[in-house]
Amino acid sequence: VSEAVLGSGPRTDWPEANAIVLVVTDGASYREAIVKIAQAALSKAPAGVFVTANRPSHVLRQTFAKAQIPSDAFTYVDCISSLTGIMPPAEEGIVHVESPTMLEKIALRAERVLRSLPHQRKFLMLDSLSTLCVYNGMPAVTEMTHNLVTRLRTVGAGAAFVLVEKQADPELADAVRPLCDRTVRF
Amino acid sequence: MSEAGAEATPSRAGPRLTLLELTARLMQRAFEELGEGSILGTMPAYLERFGRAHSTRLAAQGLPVQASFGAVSALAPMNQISTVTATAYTLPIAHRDRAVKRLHDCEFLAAFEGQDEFVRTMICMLHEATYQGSVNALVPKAEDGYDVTVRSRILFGDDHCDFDVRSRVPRPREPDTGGAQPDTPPEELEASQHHFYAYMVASFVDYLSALLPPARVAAIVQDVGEEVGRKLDLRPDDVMATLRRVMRAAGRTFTHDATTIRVQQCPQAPGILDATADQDEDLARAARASACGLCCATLQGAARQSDPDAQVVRERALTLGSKECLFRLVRGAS
Repeated sequence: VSEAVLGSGPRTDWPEANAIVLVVTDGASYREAIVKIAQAALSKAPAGVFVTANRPSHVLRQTFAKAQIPSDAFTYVDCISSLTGIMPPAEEGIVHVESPTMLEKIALRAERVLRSLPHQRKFLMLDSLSTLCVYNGMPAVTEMTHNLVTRLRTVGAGAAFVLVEKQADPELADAVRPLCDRTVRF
Repeated sequence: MSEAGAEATPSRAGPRLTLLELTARLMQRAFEELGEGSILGTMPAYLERFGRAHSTRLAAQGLPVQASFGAVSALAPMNQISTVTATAYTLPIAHRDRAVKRLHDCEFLAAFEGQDEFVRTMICMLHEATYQGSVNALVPKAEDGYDVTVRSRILFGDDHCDFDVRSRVPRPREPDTGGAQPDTPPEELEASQHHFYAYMVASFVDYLSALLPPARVAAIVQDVGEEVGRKLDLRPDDVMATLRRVMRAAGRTFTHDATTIRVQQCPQAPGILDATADQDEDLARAARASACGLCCATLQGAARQSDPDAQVVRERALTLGSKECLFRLVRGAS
């Protein structure tokens, strides 16, 4: 497992399309990190699944549109938009999961969407392990990540798991790092 | 020269609106910086604690609260806060087993009414969490407490916000008057208002400090304070006169010379100290420094209405153990 810093040229820094990457940020550059990771991953694969537990998918779409990331680059598995109790309207390219506490359902939906993408090179981006940890605790999130990594390797897809250091159990990074091919610090 | 805050008879609306604006901007930045998922996972619990702590404090100060008797009685601390913040309310249902508190005004309407539906829903959820914490603060056993649900929302175009408080255990459907609300003298009401809003602002700074690196919190505090200071309704003349006007509006007692302002009494300081009282000493000092940094940044923003190059630094703070707050104008016209 190698560790690197995501620099100003992430397209060249990012590993191959099927690598499983843990992206660790201290939270100070979180928003910038999300955009850069998305751009970097999309430089290696044409499309991906974005599992979001932190920003509603419509907010992410706006953010990515400003960064000139194509709107069809991601299919979203959104487990935060329903959390306020108001069910969001059905929208193409977005699969809603009722709550970030439904880890198994999130993993199943993500895998299903990933398998449905008509590309050979594809990836999953998860924002973020630390947010899921807030709702589920560290052991459950570590277990889900382990299962998800196994499924991703079966499909041959890459992944970027985002972890905001100060918002998570300090042991979470230690538990997830060995599952990943590379750790990138942002 | 000395200048007492009382001489300028500041209106209650001035500092209230400024502190509300600071709180609203901090909340907006928290949404942006942390993400809605993190906020919804952490802030409701934080605000429940905030509601509990405030109720406990009011009861300790002598507010009569018979929370176990009924839903209206359990609402007494929040009703007192509504009185302190001059927020009109009625109680269309006032029984022991159920009460509906109707707020006729939303303090965050101006800051959030044009915002995304998700953000507005979050604001209402966070308000609900504060009520939830407050009504259960003084009930000995949690299972004998109450559940709060927001039924209507001004932020979504309703005429009022209804907080429905229902007992978790059978309580008779009998009227609950909630006990007598204290007849608070205006000067005490004003002090309580300073305390409450300062407590609220400091709590948000404290919350951010728990989740973001210190340098990031400092940057947010500086941005937010300056932004609000720049928008204060002042009649800017020279920088020091502008700063004195802000000090008077905030109700502070201070002395000044050509480049410094020394605050001997700050009505916001007790709220900041109380909001951070339960923290580990290092965390408390950091949160107090950031909360007072917000004050300094607001002053700098205000000063820049008079002089775009003005720079204000805080050299001492009452909340950090000094006998005075010392602000110095280190750059710009005086």
